[in-house]
Amino acid sequence: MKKVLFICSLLATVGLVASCGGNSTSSFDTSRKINLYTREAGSGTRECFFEGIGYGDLAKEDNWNEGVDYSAVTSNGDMMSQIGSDPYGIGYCSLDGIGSNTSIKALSFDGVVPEEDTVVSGEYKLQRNFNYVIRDYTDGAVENSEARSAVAHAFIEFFSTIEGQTQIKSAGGILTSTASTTLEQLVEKYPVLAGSDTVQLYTCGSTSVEKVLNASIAYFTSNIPNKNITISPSQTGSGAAVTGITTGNSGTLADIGFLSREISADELAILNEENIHGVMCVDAVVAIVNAENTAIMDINGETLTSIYKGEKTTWAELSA
Amino acid sequence: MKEKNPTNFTKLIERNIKQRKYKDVLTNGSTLVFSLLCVAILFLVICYVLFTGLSYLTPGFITSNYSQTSVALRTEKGFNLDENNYDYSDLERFDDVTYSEKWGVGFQLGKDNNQNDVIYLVQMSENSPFHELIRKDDSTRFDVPTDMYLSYIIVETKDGMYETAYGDDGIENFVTTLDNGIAIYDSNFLTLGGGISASLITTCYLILFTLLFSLPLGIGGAIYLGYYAKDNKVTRIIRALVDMSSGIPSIIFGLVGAAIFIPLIGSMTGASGGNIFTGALTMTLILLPTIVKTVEESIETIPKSMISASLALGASNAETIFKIILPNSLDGILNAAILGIGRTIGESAALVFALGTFITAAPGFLSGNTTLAVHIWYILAGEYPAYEQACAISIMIFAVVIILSLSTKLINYLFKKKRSR
Amino acid sequence: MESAVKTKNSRNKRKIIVDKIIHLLLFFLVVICASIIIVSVIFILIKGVQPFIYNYGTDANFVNQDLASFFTNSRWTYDGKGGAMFLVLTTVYVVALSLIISVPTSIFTALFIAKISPNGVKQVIRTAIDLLAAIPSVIFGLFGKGIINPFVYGICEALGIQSFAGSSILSGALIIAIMSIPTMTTLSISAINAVDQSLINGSLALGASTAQTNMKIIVKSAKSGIFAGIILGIGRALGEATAIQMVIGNSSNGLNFWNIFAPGSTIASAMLSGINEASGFGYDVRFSLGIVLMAVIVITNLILNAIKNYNRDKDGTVRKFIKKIREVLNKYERKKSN
Repeated sequence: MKKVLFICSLLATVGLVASCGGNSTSSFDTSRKINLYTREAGSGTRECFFEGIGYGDLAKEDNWNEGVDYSAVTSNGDMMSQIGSDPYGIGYCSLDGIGSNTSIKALSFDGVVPEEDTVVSGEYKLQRNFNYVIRDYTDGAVENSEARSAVAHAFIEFFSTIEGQTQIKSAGGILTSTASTTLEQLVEKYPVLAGSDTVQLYTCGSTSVEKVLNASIAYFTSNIPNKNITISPSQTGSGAAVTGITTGNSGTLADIGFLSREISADELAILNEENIHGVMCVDAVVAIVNAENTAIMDINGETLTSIYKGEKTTWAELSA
Repeated sequence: MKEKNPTNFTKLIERNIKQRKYKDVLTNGSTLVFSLLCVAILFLVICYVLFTGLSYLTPGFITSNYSQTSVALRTEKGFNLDENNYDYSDLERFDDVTYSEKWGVGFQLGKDNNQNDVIYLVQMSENSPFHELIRKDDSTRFDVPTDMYLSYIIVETKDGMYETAYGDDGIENFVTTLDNGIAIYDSNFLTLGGGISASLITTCYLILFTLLFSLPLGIGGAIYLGYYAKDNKVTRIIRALVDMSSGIPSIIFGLVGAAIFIPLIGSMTGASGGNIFTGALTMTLILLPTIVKTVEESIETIPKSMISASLALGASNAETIFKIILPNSLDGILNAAILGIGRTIGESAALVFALGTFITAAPGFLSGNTTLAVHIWYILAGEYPAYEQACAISIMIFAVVIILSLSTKLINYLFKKKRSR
Repeated sequence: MESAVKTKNSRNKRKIIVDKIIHLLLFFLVVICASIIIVSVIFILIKGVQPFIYNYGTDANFVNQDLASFFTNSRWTYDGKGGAMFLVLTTVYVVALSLIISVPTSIFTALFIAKISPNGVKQVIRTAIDLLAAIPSVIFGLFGKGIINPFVYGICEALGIQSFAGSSILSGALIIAIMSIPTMTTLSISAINAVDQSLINGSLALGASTAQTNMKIIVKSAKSGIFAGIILGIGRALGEATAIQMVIGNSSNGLNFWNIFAPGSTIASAMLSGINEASGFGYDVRFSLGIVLMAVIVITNLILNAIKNYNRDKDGTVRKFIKKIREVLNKYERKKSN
């Protein structure tokens, strides 16, 4: 018992001393190991990243090579805060989140700097579509289906109005098409938007679209004449998009599902022609390292693959 | 160790006593150290939560809605800034405000809930055309709100094109774009959002209904076990089952509740998903074993002589239950209720499944909504976890938990006093 | 007179009927309370067995959980070939690590509260323990991310070990140690308070100091009660999900026994990690993990209870059982050597 005591107190003192002095590490030591960070299995961001760098084995499953240490985080924000506090870490996240974050550094891919212009022009390769899919209202599973259907379709069309596209851009989404209509024309097209019917919509699916979606919902529901329309988002993950509009998540049938990846063949098999789907906007996935990292500025798919395969394990091997 | 020389014996004892004293101080000291460690951990947790979240815990945070509200304003159709001359000489100038000379307004930087830069309109000249802006939805005149931030502005330029300026492009760019325009096509004023009012109301409702469902069931079960039950196989099995169910992780109850209650309530009321009733029923599953245990313990402390006297005086079992057992186990019932409230406030894993994670503006009984703990879970599970807001909500949960814990102590103290009298 | 008897009789009859109704009603209520666990277990079993039987993919691309790899594969994946044993071992390992901290802390704190401290201090520490027990686990998760991970990262940097910014098995162990301390302490306090005063007096009268009495008499006699508290704490720790998932790093690639600073994954954290994105097979297989979790909890409880009862084994069943096992083993070895 006393030995245990002794060890405990020793550990505690070491920890206290360490946490006081540990933060002062300054220069980047290239002989250190590369710490691998990833998103959890099933994430749309993860799928895009590993498909993009040509290491599809990891896209959906944790098929890591034997003995590779890694840490899995569950959101873009978590990824950035982890990389921000680990000088030797490497990870990836969505471009729109990086913004003014100074604790991390975005790497260019194949020599192309990840920016809106390079993504739109297609030069930057690690990109993906944000897709939507609307529920099939002809099955009669929800009440008030006519009005709900109209509002859901109107909301999707809102993404291609001048106002809607501005929402997407203001929330960091990247557009590849230009606006054709205005909100005013949309209200004329869908009389329910100008009436006074109470309509409640639910959305589900990817968490990556959350920023864009929240901005769009706030603008759409506040600035149409009908103030009795509400849209409640419950974004849990791309996997929940199709199940949410067909069978419901925790029992709630959603109206619109969003995916941060392409709709898979399995999911397409469930859908029919009433389930209208398409692209809302485009997003880029960026490899990121800590801001203190001086070993690397540019990276390519081959190098990233060898890093995530556990073949290149130290930062020195990369800069050599 | 064997001492052969008898003269050294007293020395040995002295040495032993010295050693013993040293050891005694060490053991007593270490118990103190470990106790202080526990207190220190609690202190650290509280401090961390307070320091991270306190600045977010404003009245606005508690009373406002989670979703943002937007007001889109524009100039009237056919408006042209260049057709008029405006006099903005009444505008007082400040160093930290950036002014648009053409429109006669001043902007300042602020922060939104994600700590991104946003632009606030802080000053307006008496003659500024911003006073004539109309709402986009019904074309009525609207006073420009100063408590809302401006996320972007779309202007019409001289040659009939649209140009857009975003808040995060920087304030100079914003003003330059604004000055390029001759009319405003769209300007989006937003509230900060992120408030917790709806979740707070739902939490209160959920506690109410959970207690309504679980207390009668639990008290009934406890009275049966403590009063009627004979020591036979059936009773023992029932007791073992109740004991065992208190060891099941709550996440499993959540899955069970979602699978049983959501369809059940749905078919009874037409609700399409998780709601307060399904949440309350699931919480009832989680709480029942604890309530049964707590109330039964308190029934067992009632002197047997009291019950025998009641029965001997001709009171029936039912009368004895209502007039002797229930009033005398009141402290157990109160403790059980408080425990129930505490668990309901803190539960997240089970309610994610059984109640759902929809943060709505107006909580209804049969529509999707969520409690404070699930609200924390939801904002942490999102793509950009808001730790500060989570801590702010945690402070509120903390406050309630502390009050509940202290009131349990008070109840126990009062009843102890009453009993000893 | 007769009518008075009549009304009395009828009142008695009514009383008896009311009594019977209430008796039945209460019995009904208690049956509901008891049936909760049965319904839950059946439900989890049905859901958890499904991934082993049904086909979740298309006809050409058959997806279900492979039973053999469920027990043998050293990593956990969601493609039907994942192995849960790695998660089981890590879970047990993390909980065992946490015990190194939580057990001495709980026993010493309980001793301090029950026997040593003056009354005022006692109330303060007791309240602190109660509050610690009442904190929701999501808040512990926040605390772990904000304080424990940087703390562990600091230790690593000081020792020159590379770590994942503190996300590690050690952080997980620290968090569940903190979370299980209140349960263990509360039960230890009641066990210590229940020690017979005459034993204590006897020890003191024989010349032992209070500290010696505390350690050698009180803790030893309260052993079984303290052990019961530890068992309960372990049960809690095994099932903890939210907080541990936020600090442990969620790596499901093999065991990391030799390096407590490496990330890992427990059964419950694997169930919760990425549940947002899960659907179909990936969702249902979490119920299979649920069965594994319940099995681990039950088996751990059985083993610990057997250990607990070993010393108080009045009719000697456990001793006999162990003796029998030894005999069988000896026979087997003799046969082997022959």
